[in-house]
Amino acid sequence: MKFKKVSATASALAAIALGFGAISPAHAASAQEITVWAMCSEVGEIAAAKEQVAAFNGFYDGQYHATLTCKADMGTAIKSTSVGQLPSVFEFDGENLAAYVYAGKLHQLDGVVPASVFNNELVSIQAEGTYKDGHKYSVSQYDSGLGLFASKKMLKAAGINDVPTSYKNAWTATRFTAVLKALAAKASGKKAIDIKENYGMGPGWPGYAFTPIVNSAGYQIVTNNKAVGALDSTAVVNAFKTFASWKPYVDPSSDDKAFENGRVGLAWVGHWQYPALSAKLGSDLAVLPLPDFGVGSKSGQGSHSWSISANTTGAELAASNVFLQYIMKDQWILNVTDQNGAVPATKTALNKSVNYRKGGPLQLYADQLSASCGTAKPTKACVTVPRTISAAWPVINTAFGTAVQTIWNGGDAKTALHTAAVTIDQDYTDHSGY
Amino acid sequence: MTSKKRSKFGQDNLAGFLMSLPGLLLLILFVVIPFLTAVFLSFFNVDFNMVGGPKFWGFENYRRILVDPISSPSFYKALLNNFTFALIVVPAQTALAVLLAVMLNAKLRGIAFFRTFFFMPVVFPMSLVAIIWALMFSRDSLGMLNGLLNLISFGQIQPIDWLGDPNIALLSIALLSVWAGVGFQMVIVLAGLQEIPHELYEAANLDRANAWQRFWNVTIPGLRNTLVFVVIITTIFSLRLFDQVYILTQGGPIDATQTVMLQAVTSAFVEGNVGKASAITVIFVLIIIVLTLIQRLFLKQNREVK
Repeated sequence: MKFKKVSATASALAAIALGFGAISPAHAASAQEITVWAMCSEVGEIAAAKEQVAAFNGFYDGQYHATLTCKADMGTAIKSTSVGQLPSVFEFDGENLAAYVYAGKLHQLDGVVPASVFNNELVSIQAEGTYKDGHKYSVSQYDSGLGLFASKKMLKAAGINDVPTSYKNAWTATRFTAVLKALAAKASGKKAIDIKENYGMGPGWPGYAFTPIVNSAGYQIVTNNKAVGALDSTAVVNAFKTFASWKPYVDPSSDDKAFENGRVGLAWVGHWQYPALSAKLGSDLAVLPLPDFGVGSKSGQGSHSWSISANTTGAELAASNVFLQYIMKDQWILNVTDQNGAVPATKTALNKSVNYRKGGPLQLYADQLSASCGTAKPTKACVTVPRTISAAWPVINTAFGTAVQTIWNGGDAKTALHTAAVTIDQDYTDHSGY
Repeated sequence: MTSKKRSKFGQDNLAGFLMSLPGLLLLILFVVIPFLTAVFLSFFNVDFNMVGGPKFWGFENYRRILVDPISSPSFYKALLNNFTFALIVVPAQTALAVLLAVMLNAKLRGIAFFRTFFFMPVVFPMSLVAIIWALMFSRDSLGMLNGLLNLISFGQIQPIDWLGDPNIALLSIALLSVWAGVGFQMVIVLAGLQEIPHELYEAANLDRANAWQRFWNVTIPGLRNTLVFVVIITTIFSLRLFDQVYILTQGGPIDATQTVMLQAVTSAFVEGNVGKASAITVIFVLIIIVLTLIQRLFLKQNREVK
């Protein structure tokens, strides 16, 4: 009995070995191999990554062959891998683009990937993939949307009738304070909004979600390589004082469901919550712009990006280019955005998306991203602002997040933001301005 | 020492050296070399992914950590937090460990079950413990701790912002840490208790000592060396406080839970600033060496008494 089992296993192994033996020489003979690292943090994205690689290998059978590796912590993987050891193609968090370019890890993509691919991308994504040298270093399948979710019924019950219909008529910060007060008065727990405190108010979440407060006060965190005079300017300090004054109306949402479960009428969060919320709230759910701190409503942008590693050359570079073009087809973009709910990052895919096209429930996100401020000083005309495209971003993110946390917990806004600004400027000086 | 012994000493020395060689090699490889590297790197402007390589800049990292008006307060606050934490946790955890150990040393049916039960938090990874406590520490009335206080006080105690209030956050972290760590000390004390000769208790009984007198005059002196060990190890554990704050507060609110280890890790692996991180660890190692020397002094006296 035991022996039988062993022999069965052995013959199965032999069959597998034979099977591989039959396939692999064919590849070795003609197909150009590329290695691909994908970010594997979410179930839907993992599935989509596998599907598009399998489809690529099927489509270019015998010509190109991609081998996929999943990385749970891509940031650490890239940081701790020397450029020679990096795969041909990899996915990463777009906010780190500048740091990777500065470290010489990314291949310049203009001149490799056709201009038509870049031109089809949303304005926001074009901005995020461009380094300060003016060259493109990445493409993206999807972008992110940030705004407010609201319960129409709860707003109505609180007597709020001036609900914004686009980012152009967003609530002012002063009006927003009154809205929160009115909502809290009607709510069972006397809270009005969920700002996702449970994501952590320290470095990380504020860098994405609360940078728009700086932008809406009229500044980039860093202007001309200097944060002092921008991040700690009076307008930004006042904006954060207002922000901190909302704390009594904020549900800490330790269960992540303050809004979903109807304890509050507003949520300050991104597109990823839409699938669950629309299932729960149905037609009661509204998507609104973030409040305006003076220079118009602003929002965040940016998500995962794809690039080619700097040392990739020759036939491998050509194959990597084919791979990027392949996954930038509308079909594969919609395949992943259907699974993770993100904003399709090309104009053609966006128009095919039920949620994001004109008249769709999430059109606001698409409108916001089409009006990206890029790296310029924010004006009333633009909405989304990329996280500072600089190799200093990790330092900026930490310093800014720490400042927001301090302010949120009752610390002095001016001191906190000035400390962050000085820390950031010192990092620029230490690196000769990057 | 007789001359016969002295002649053997050379051989003993060689054998001893050979036997300690693996340990010494590991120490050199994993402690001495990394430390010397850190000392070397602390004099440079160096980080991950740096273009053009490290630049020597003398004591600049140390100046920023220890003197600079903008960046140094954070380090001193972290150091102060480390010592405050140790001052809270070491006595609390040691006392609680002794209490639990004495209780669990009782000869009851199923005592092994209780011992396992109290030791369990030590087995859980700190990351897991911290996540669970994050839910208990929630600042709204949904938080388990706030809900409990509200219930037993009939709504008189308002929800406390356990991790967000700068005056309470470090205490909350300490509370969690004592809960998670006390089982380890308890087991050590339990072992110490079982070393105390039973005759001493019998003699104390003959002298009509009551339970309190037996505890104070037999148990505690019998545990003396165990307790010294427990205090030292708890001090070391509490000085390297990191996991809980990294997961729960990331050093906030307003640096209330900032720790030296957290700063070193953040500098190196978030900001990529290897020079600063090295300088922080070098300063910290020097502080720990001083503390160890003080503790050695204390231990020596203990032996002389014996």
